[in-house]
Amino acid sequence: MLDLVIEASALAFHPYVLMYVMLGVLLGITLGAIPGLSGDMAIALLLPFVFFLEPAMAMGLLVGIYKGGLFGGSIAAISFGVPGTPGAAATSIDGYQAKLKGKPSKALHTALYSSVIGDTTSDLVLIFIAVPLAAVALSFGPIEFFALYAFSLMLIAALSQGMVAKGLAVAAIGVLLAMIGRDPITGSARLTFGMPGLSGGLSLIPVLIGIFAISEVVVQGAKLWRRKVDDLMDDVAEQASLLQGYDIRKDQLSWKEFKATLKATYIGAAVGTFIGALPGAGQSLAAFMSYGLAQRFSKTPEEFGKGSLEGIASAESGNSATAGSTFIPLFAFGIPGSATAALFGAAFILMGMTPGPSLLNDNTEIIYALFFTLIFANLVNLVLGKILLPYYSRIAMIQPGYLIPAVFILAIVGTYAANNSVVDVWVLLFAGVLGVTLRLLKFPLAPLVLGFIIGPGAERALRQSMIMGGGDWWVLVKSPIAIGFYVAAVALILLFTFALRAKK
Amino acid sequence: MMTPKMSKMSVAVSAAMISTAMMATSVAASDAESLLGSDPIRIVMPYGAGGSTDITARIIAANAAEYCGTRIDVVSMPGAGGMEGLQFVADAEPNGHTILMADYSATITQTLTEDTDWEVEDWVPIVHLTDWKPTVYVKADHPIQSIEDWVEMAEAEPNTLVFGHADPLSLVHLPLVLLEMETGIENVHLPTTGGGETRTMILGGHAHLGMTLPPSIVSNVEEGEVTAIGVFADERSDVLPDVPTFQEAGYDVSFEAPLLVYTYSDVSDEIQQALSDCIMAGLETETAQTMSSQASAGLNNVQGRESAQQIYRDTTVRVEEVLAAIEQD
Repeated sequence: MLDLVIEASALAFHPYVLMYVMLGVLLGITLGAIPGLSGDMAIALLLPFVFFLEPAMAMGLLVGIYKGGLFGGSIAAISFGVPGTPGAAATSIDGYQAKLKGKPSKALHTALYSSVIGDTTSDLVLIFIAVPLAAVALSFGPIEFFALYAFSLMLIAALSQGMVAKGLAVAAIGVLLAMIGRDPITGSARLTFGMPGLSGGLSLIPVLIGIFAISEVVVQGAKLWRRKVDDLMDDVAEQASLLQGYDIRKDQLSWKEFKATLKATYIGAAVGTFIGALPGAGQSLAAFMSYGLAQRFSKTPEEFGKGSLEGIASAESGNSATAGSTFIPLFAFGIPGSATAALFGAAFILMGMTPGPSLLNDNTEIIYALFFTLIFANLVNLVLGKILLPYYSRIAMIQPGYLIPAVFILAIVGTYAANNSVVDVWVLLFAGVLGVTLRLLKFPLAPLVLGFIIGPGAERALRQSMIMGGGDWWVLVKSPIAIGFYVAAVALILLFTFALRAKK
Repeated sequence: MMTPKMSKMSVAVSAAMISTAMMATSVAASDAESLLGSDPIRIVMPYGAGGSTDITARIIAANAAEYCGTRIDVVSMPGAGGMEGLQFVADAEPNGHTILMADYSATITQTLTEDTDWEVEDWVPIVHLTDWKPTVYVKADHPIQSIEDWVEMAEAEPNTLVFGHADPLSLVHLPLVLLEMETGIENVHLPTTGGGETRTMILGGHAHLGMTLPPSIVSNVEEGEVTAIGVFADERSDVLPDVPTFQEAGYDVSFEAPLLVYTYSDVSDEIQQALSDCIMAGLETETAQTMSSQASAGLNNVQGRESAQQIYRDTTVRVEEVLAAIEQD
């Protein structure tokens, strides 16, 4: 065993491998920060080349890109309110508000630390308890998945305090938007109004960026314009002085602030690790669920949505904590639980290693080396992040006159690049209009996005359950895990209703 | 162990490879080069990245560029159930720089069942890469361990066995429909998001049987987690040589799925031929063959236009028959 560890660490800590990891993290952070581009794209592009690399180096490069990308997504989310990756959508809720209050550096550092903590937790779980967790993940069939989705929807729909009805209403709109496209069971087109471009449904990235970023840009632009028209120059001057007078030294994350976010980070780490291990659940769900739970257990839940560092920490840690555990089903059964896992699976295959139960036995050394690399990449992420964040913080404080058009263009180009699709650009603009409308009517936006993210999975799981149960609704409570989720959902809602009343 | 010398070399090789990907290769003058010019060629793949088709497309991109005289990009366009990818190729300039790589679900089944701008004949196969052999498998401790067990149990209790497959009418679903027609057995058809979800359902005991392609379950079969019970092909699969075909078990059902590279019909004959030649030349190289065998991509018997078009016509007839039969039900 000791020999093995020594040999594996010799592989993993070879200077070239370390170099590839650093290169990968840098590339990942950069790509993740650009909306629409993601680490996954770079990994896909580099796939054929892993064949020509030593496995340890190839792994180092890909792991670096992946982890850098997970954190990088939060940079655009905080700086511009544009989630750079779907996983960063929840981060943008509080992150962007914190930036508007002149605290981009605090927000970005919170995101970095929670991302690294969440990721490391997840890696340790992958390394030490992959097998038992994999067995739990397998027991999630359609019935259990539906219960999980119902639980998260209930948790998040009530996110915005005092707006439960509005929250549920927009969540329903999100689910409805997600139903456009192909019926998951019969495969026929529905709600497409005869438009072939809609037959595959709305893609996640344009909906996400449209709802959050385009609507924000429009609102900001309108504010700017109105101020000019009304000649309220003193107000503009005040805003401008906040930007011009930005002093990064006054915007440092203190130890006390960091400690206050730790509970949220741990919640995110636990939730993210678990959700990451479930095939098909995804980073966005992990981030939103962590956010919802962290708010429930926070001492200052009213700060959530207004720039709470805890909000950022929970979302970002939940998002990043899927990084290690998403490999669990891949290593244990060869099942790619996410798009990234599928790409790593392809990379393993090209290196002559078959993902699945025999992976570890046949390639013990290299997999142990990969474990070291996973942990090391987190350190690189932390160090590179520390170096880069002051610059990103300053970029975040660019004057809106320059920023607004730049974000608009970035959103359109990024959306097109993600799927090479013009339809997606129209969806983006449509989602932007919807976002503006909802903002004007004071509806919360996060439940809509969550409804959109989990809608397809929830519908599929429900209908698969019904097929398996021969149309009998009781099938939904035939699993102890499912019952557990329903009980937990009801208990949480009751608990917080009473807690809220007691406060009043 | 990795020696410093080797690592240096691989760094150099990788740097070289990455830079070749970034700019057009200027190697190997050929007929293809003069016909195709120096603009990059795009292989459009109507699926997400990371699957079997993606790996195969990237093996082509890495090896055929030299022979086609220009860089080859792989573009993943899974939008609109893959239809967006097909639309993109159909709308592209007919200069052979935008080609499609897909199995028959996209070009034949969806064209026949949906309202599209093209007919099945508008897709002209130029390379026949490999044939995928749909395989039925179960969990290793399931009472069903053979084709006979399955048919027997399904006859005894119709519509109780849950069968997981990817999209309805996909290449891992049509063979099931055919077998049910042949034998009269009935199963509960459970659509999944794809091979990964099907495998989760089998291993977790949520579904009884599933269908997939052999390379994706080899590892699970070898570890004794699942049993592959039968292959819908004329011959057994290379990677699962112990698994009988359905024909061997006495059921005349075989439905292999050819993986093809297509141009749209408005591309000239010369360009089609040039593309076909240079892709095949690239896949015959040693590097391509090694990549293929590591990835179980089955590119050891790549065929040109004639074989590709023959198999495309045959497959079209078969799909039409199955669809007609489904409609009658």
